[in-house]
Amino acid sequence: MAALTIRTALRGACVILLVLLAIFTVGYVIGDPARLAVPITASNEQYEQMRASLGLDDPLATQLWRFVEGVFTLDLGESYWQRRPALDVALSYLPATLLLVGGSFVVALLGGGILGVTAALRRGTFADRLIGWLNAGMAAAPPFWIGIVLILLLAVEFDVFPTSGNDSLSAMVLPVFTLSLASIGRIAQTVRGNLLAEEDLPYARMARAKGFSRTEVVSEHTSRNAGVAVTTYSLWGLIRLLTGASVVVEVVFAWPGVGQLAIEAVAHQDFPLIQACVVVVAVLVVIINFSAELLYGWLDPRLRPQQRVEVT
Amino acid sequence: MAALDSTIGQVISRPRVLPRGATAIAVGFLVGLLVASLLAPLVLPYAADQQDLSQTLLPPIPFDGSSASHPLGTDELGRDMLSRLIAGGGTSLIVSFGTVLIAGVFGVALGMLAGYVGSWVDFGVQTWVEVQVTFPGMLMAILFLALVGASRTALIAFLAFVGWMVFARAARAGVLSERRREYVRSARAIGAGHTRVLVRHIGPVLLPALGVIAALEIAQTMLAESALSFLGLGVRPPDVSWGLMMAEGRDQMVDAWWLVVLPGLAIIASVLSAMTLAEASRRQVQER
Repeated sequence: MAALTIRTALRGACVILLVLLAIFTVGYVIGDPARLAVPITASNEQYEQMRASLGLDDPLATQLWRFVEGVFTLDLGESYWQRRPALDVALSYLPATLLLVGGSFVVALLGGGILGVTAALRRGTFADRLIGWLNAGMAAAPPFWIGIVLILLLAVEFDVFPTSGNDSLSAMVLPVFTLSLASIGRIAQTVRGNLLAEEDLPYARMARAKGFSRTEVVSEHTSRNAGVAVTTYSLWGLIRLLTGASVVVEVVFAWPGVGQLAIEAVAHQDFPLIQACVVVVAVLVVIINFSAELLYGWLDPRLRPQQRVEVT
Repeated sequence: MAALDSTIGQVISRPRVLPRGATAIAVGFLVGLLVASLLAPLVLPYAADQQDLSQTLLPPIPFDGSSASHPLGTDELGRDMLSRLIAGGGTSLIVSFGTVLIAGVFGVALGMLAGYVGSWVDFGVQTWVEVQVTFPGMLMAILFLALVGASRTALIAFLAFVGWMVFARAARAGVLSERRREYVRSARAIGAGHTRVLVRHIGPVLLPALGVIAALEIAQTMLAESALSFLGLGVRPPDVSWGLMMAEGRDQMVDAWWLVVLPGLAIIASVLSAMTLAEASRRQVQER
């Protein structure tokens, strides 16, 4: 377990370094923060001034050093728009994102679990097919479109829920439900697939042969083994939510999270703030990934390194 | 084929059970969309960006106040929805096929190399794949597209950059399971070079499975394109995109639902078509 922890931690550190390198490459080598910072109408002189004041005329190595130094001293520059340290701003929007993504994840696990188990128990019936189509439909619909349609129906037409914000429980219902839809179908398919794969293994057939019903075999035997794969897969799903769908859902519902902040930072041409948002989410992703791999290794000892059993 | 099967099997979200005729409908829809987007400028009476301020916000045909000259209605600038939807389809096809082509060629080349050469090349490629899979995609996209400038080319470049890993993994797994086979050894024995073995002998064996993955990736890329265009970071006016149409129509959505509902339905139809194609071809591959 210790070997696994160290290996996973090292890889996590690698990922963070490479993400930082990618941000730097995109930000300073390919992109041009000065072009973003000056108004479109700015003269060439103003632009050159901005470049100089941002230190973009320095050699790349100097800029890289300054960037790395900034990251390790937790100083990602000052937000042009909010006139506060960019990292502080990004972190202050993080709880809302965590609430949205965490809430959706729980809903998706419950919903996906129920749908997946139902489909597996009723394999080949109409219910199974219906759930299959439902999953495909959920995977094919863009989350922001679902959000807009739900707003049109439930907030505007029937006035059941508020259209935006996150200050009350009822305001959370639509965003959380919308975001969970992006994940439910996938989780349901993983649950179904893993349960059915387990069912063909000797131990499960043995249990059936001894007279347990299919429901009993699922609840007492196969669900535990299938659960291992489902757990890890769902945590990757959590990462996918965090790095993808949550941004558009936050924008649609005016949810004050990191994704929406990043989009507003683009509108305010606020490069340090965009950068801070990316770093915050990247670190979060690495932490979740790290926990997922440790959890997987803890749940399934076969995956731990140096536990190789020599067969003689 | 075991390794390949597991690769396809893991791939996410596709309709598990296809209703009869689904494949034909899916192919028909995508081909129809392609033909329509190619022919639209010649056939349709309105250009996608042609404004008519006397004809704004007309609803689609069965609804009150619709007009026969704009069967799917018009937007806030009086632009014809049908023409715009078709133009948006063209964008969706160009971006998704372009992205998957670039990502596929790059990923397959790298993956085959890793699987064939092994040792440190394999380790390097594997690490690169592992690291990039955990990239915060959407936020990197925001950073990249804000700095480089949103355009169709930048969008394809970015989406290809974040989409090649699945091809690399599949190609690597495929080469690993094929490279010790009889036919590969025979080819080597009669003097075929490594490149020739990879391209002419192993390549064709992997192609069907890679095609399945490509179809799924096309579906994913269509969704990604629409999301980024919706956020104002993808396709920019005067180019038309379904995601962009929804962003533009959001302010009027209470009075004019069709501005956001129709582009969304178009996205769902195309993504489902691509997913259906993937599932149908997966069956073909696995039944053989």
